[in-house]
Amino acid sequence: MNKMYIIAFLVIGGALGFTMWSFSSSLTPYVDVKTARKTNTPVQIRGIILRDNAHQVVRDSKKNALRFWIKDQNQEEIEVVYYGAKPDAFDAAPGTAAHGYVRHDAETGRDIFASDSLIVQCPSKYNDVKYKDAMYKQTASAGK
Amino acid sequence: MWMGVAGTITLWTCLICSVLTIGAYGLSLMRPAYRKPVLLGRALYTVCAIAMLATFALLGAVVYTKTVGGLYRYEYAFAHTSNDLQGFYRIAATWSGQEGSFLLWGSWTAIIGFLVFAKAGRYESRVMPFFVTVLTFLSLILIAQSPFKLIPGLSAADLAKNPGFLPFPHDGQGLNPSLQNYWMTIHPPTIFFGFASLAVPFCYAVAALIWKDYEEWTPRIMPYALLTCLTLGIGLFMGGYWAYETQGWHGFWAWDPVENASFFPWLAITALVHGLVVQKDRGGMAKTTTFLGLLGFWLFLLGTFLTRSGALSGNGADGQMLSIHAFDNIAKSGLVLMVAMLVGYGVLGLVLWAWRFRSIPARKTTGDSLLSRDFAFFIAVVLMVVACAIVTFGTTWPLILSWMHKAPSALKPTFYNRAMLPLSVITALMMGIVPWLAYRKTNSEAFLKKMLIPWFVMLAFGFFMLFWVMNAQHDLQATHDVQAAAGVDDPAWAEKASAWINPAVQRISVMGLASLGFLAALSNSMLAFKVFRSRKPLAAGGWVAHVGIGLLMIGAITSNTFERTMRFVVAENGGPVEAFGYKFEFEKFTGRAREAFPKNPDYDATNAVEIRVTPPAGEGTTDASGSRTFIVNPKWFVYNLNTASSEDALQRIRWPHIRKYFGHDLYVGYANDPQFVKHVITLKKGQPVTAGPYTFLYAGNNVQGLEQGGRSISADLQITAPDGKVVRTNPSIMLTPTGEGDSAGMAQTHLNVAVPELPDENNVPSVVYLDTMNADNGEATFKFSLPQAKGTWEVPLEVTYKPWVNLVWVGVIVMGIGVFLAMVRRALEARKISDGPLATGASAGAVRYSESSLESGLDLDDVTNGSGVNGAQSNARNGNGKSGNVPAKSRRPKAPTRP
Repeated sequence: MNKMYIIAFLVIGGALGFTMWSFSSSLTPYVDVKTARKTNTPVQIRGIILRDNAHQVVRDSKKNALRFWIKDQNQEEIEVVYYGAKPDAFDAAPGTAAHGYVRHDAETGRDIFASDSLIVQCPSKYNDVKYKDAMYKQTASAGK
Repeated sequence: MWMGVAGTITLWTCLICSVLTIGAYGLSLMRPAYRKPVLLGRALYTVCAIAMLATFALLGAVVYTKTVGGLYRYEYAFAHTSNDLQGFYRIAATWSGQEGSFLLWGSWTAIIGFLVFAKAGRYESRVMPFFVTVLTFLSLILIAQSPFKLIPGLSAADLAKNPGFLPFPHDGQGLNPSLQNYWMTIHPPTIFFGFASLAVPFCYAVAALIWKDYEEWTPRIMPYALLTCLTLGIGLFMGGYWAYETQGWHGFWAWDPVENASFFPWLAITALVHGLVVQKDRGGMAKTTTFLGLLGFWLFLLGTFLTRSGALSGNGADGQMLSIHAFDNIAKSGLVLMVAMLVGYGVLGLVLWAWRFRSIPARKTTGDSLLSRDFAFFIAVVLMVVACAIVTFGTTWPLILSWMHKAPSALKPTFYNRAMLPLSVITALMMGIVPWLAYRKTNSEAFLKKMLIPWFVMLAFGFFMLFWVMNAQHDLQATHDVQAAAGVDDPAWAEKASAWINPAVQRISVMGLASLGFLAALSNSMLAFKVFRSRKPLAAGGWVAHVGIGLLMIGAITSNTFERTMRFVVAENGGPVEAFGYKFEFEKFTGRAREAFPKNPDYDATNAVEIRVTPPAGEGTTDASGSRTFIVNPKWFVYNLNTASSEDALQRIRWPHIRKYFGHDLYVGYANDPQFVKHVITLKKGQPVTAGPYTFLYAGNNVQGLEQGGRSISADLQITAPDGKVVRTNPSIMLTPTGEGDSAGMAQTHLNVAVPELPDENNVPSVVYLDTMNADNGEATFKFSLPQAKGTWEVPLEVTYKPWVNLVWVGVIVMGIGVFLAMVRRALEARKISDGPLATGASAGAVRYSESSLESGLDLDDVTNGSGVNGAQSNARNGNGKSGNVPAKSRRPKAPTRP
């Protein structure tokens, strides 16, 4: 019987140890844009998506990339180039997190954040039930 | 509104009757000789259950019935259904919200309760009172957070101001388009059945602990545990397939917290099933099985609390989505009751188990030998409990973070993939060798001899895997390179990309896990085959289930590691583009014809483009016209998320086209919305220009202020058609102020103008569009698409080649068949339990099993051990007192009949 328990504890101990290693090695830190510019390894940044005329969301059809600007908590802006299909909730999202790294872009001559994954923010109005005036308007089919 | 009133009445009935049911059964426990309290309990339970079902039906009626202006005063109907919602989706809308899903849980619980008291025999009074408490809690929650809440509506003053308005909305917001999918009609009901059935092991475990009867609970609970394993497993599979079919949901399993919340109870129940086999066979592991029975239900309560409370389904403190699943918020009172359930059932279970801990009989769980089937079962339980703990930890991590006052964020799939890898390897290895192990002790020579052939077949497979992996890695790298060269992928990603583990280690683990999975599938199918031909074919169930898991492992690890994606643009007038050996060419646009001004015709519902694909040489069948090509038609759908509010929240859903082959799937979706590219022309004011068959004249312009601020600039454009007709159009640009503070600016909206006077063919719109206007030099740039000068489509595609992913689905189905067979077998065995006086305490050991149930305890399905060790050893089981009353003599004749 004791042998069984020893083996069981070994399995459990090994699995837990391995879990702790996976845990610590899978955490990618969130950094601000300034730190991201200085870091060479993949990081995560997050901020609000700018959508005005100076910072337009552009679909680069040649590269199938999505280019947009984000501004982090310290008011620093950077252009993100996301290589991937535009996330479904992107147009309505106020902000997003992006995983990637900063590199120099030869075409535009500035540093961009090359990203391989985005986690977009859910629009806050997702769950609110609000009633548009049109919903109350009696239509011709009313009363049928 | 009578439905709401009726619903409230039924909920209160359910609540009161459930409490009375507990009382009636309690009475019968105090007076076990009388039959009346039991009958009273059954009658009260029936009323309680029917009340819950009736409430569900009433909510369904509220959601389903189509009347204008009437039922949208119910907030639930307003939020989840609309007049144009069709057929099955109207039914599915019933469970698409918080309250509806509680009712679904309650309804299944109510139905399962009938099964429980029908089958419980003498255990009825012990189990039912606890079971009914689930309905008590659920009806309380639904009374606190009523599904029949009404919208406040417009006041008389508002109505006076707006003649023609109804006091309540005449249409609903409708079902979220991403839920308008056939899976919505079958996935929630199936998975909620699995959840509801978790209450049964819990109640039986409680009864076993209170009345100190650990022997009889085993055969009674086996079929239920397997039922949960089956239905919850199928529900998980459905969810996975739905995620796979939906682009943007990260494949069939993303370790999403809400997915995990359904998965960790499944792991606990599967561990329970394995522990019960040990307990049935040897009497040991009683402490573990009772604990796991309690744990399964409690983990489900934890998961459902995490999901519904918003801890997982909402946003992290910094606003990002923690999970791709999102649910409505639960009311505070509902939340308090959910916590009460967690604490109540948790404390009940824990206190009972701890109190009875010493008195739970400890028997030898396994033989002395490590090389035995008993030990394998024991290890199986350990592995699954550890896996359950890891997944539970990972899923609750966001909550832990918020308790520590840090910003919550979900753990990435990387964590789970890494943590689960060694466990999966050991599991696959154990599954691969257990069919060759005997109970108690396996003769090691015999074992090695028997394993020789399967082992060599596995090595051959391993070699094949080695080449396959090298090839797949090479293809993956090639894809990266091609994409990087085209500028589509970041050039450095191949190195910087965070593979979830060192690439070399990843390759080795794919080979290893796939080979071990293959061994598991092979060994178990050999044993299953033998058992099918024996006297007890149903005993093959467990082995068949393992075959399924082996296949599932192979499919999952190969497709996830080596799937490759290419993104490219297919232009209407461009040539075919090649990816993975397939050539893609534009065929036609099949969406709805565009609507006229003022809607932006780029946003349209259920658009689709047809792409003609030529498969690589040697593949595909030639049809009647001699062509090997086929059509793929992915679709995209843009909708306004918030139809009820005045602000637009546009979302898109993309439905990929999945073409299934035996060895891979070709997954074709959109990388971005297809673009209709129009012709461009720059005109100077007053100077007509002829382009093709048309003559354009930019006659004048006009600037107007807009009510909401900003202005509208329009151009007067005259087009002379080939037949001499002159058409005047006014394309315009709207400049509206947008943004605040630093990001304030003017948003430009270009309004496409339809040109109905120049009729078009189906689906090719005639539009004119003002691109820019320069006031200084009087120039303006226009874009147009006219019948004889059409615009062209540019379709950005994202094509993924997923190798061997269909093994995942095949594996799950095989596993389901196996679990089903096992469930039927154990249900038939449970029928043979003799219904003598209730066993309590010390006399539990003397429970009389009938011949046939004992026979099953001997596990005659062990036909692979020809050394006869089993026959000799089975007599040793007399020592544990379980089979004390069956004469040993009757068992001996069985040994020679084993092949």
